Amino acid sequence: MSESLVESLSSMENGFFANARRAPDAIALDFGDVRVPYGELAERARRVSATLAGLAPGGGDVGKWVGVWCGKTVAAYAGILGILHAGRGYVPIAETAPAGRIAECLSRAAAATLVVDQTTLAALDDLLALVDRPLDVVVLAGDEGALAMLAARHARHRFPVLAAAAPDRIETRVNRDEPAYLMFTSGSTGRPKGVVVTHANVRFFLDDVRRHYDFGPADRFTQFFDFTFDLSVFDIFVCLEAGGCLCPMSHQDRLFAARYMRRAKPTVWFSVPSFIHALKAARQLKPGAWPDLRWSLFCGEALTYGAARDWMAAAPNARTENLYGPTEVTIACTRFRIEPEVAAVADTAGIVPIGTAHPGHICRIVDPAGNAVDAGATGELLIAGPQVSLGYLDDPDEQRLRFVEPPESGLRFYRTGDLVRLDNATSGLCFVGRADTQVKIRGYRIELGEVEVALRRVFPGKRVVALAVERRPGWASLVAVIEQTHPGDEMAMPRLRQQLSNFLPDYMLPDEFAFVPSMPHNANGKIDRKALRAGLEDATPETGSAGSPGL
Amino acid sequence: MATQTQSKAAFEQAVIDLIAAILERRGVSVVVAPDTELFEGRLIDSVSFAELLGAIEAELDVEVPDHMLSTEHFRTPAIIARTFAPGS
Repeated sequence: MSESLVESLSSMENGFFANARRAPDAIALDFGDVRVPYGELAERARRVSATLAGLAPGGGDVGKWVGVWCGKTVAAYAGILGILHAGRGYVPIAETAPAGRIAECLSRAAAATLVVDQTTLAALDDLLALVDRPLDVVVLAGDEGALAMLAARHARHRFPVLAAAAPDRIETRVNRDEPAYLMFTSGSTGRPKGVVVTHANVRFFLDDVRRHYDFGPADRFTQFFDFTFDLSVFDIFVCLEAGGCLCPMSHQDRLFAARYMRRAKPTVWFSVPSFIHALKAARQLKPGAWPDLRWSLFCGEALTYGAARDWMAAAPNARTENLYGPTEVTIACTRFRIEPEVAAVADTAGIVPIGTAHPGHICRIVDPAGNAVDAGATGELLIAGPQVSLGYLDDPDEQRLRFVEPPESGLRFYRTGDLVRLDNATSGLCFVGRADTQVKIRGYRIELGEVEVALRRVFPGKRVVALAVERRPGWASLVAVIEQTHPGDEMAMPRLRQQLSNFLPDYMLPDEFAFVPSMPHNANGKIDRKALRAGLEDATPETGSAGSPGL
Repeated sequence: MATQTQSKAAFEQAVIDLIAAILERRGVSVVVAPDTELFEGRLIDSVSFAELLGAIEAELDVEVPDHMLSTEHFRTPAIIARTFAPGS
């Protein structure tokens, strides 16, 4: 893509449509058995845009958001591109999310439209019964018989048919400051937090990526992340703007990654670090196995040097980077290049730095009072810059707490809650831990408070604690501890996960359940989480450690 | 011949027991049958697959060659047994 064209891009999907006009026959999506050219994907996206344009949205923000409840299908990618192209914003919804949670998110977003595909069509009946507000449900792909039945059963909702054709070009002017997506992340009070990100936020990120990397039409990108995880925005939009080929990873591809690699032949890898451990355990990671990889990128949680070394041995020709960024600061906002000679001598359990902020961003490391810490000391990371998002959809208290404007600075900072220190040797930031009880399990951001709220609903009146317990370096398990006041309470365990799944998405379901006769207390009379964690870390997990729906 | 059929049935049952044990530890309650599709509905994820692979090799004393690490050989307990039971 020429420099002048890129500079003129204002919205995040523009690059894709420009590529589709320039090289319509190039392959945009490669599923292995199905390959979709840019031209065809753009046509399908325009059909979605045309369908949405025909639905009159309500006033103000009503109808701005369109829910996307889909698997990794052609229809889903076309849906996301089409929604953005129509000037609307998309709200990704996890395939396996409980219906009650989906209904709540749609209602809070005041979404008037939901797009679904063949993956979720069967579960739609339960959801629609729970949604009070009339919805326009657009079935992007799936059985028409099922659609007719749904229409008959849910008179409150409308089922507009996907436009059969679309004009070659739809002229839309998307304002850069318009919201592009809304992602719900775990909230400590049990209520998911909705983060609103604009086209301008993503454009800044994409422009920075274009300057920093050398991605081009010959590149083939992994598509590891679920749509509900904002790192999927990197996968989809970095690839399609570079004119590359996106290779979606199915659930089975994640289990048998070696076979996926042989088929998809990616040149750019992007995943969470804990996937390296999963691959190694399943004997899918062999030295020298992936010589075609040019770039290996990791983000979402702490990366150990041991894992980085294992990966770099499998992909010896790739440049490897560790990225960092909260959803609130758009995808990723710092990066660190891992040099092979440094990795070779580093401590296996050592944590790879998160490096330096993207150009245009300012980092501050502060103590609890908000004052800058001494050089090299640990403090909370604050970030200001063009990738800092609008913030939360409907949580003014949290907004005031997290998005701060120190009077003397003239800048708007996001308080990450991540504790970091500046490393003298690399002059990069090092992740040290969290200032609160948010944890990362296999890259998923989880507020332990939200898991505890769900546990209390299953065990009313019982004292419960959720903890992240590191079973191996770089591999944390989510453990639920339940006070067992009556012998026999643990009998409920086999159904526990199922009961919890009524309230939590699958990535937040505990991997292990531990029943204890009583909770340890600290000097303040509070439950001593440290003592609980220490006890669990010492014990071999009798309940077993397993379960990573995300991987 | 009869013994081999019998031992195959026993191997299949052993595979089913291993899978059921792994799922039970996760708190997933499903009845595992010979034709239960392990990769549908994300029943088996990457961590539990690694566990299963280790258990098949250690407890059932078979070796799974790397080139056979693919969906088609692990889709159901019956297929696993057919592929990896001694004498297959």
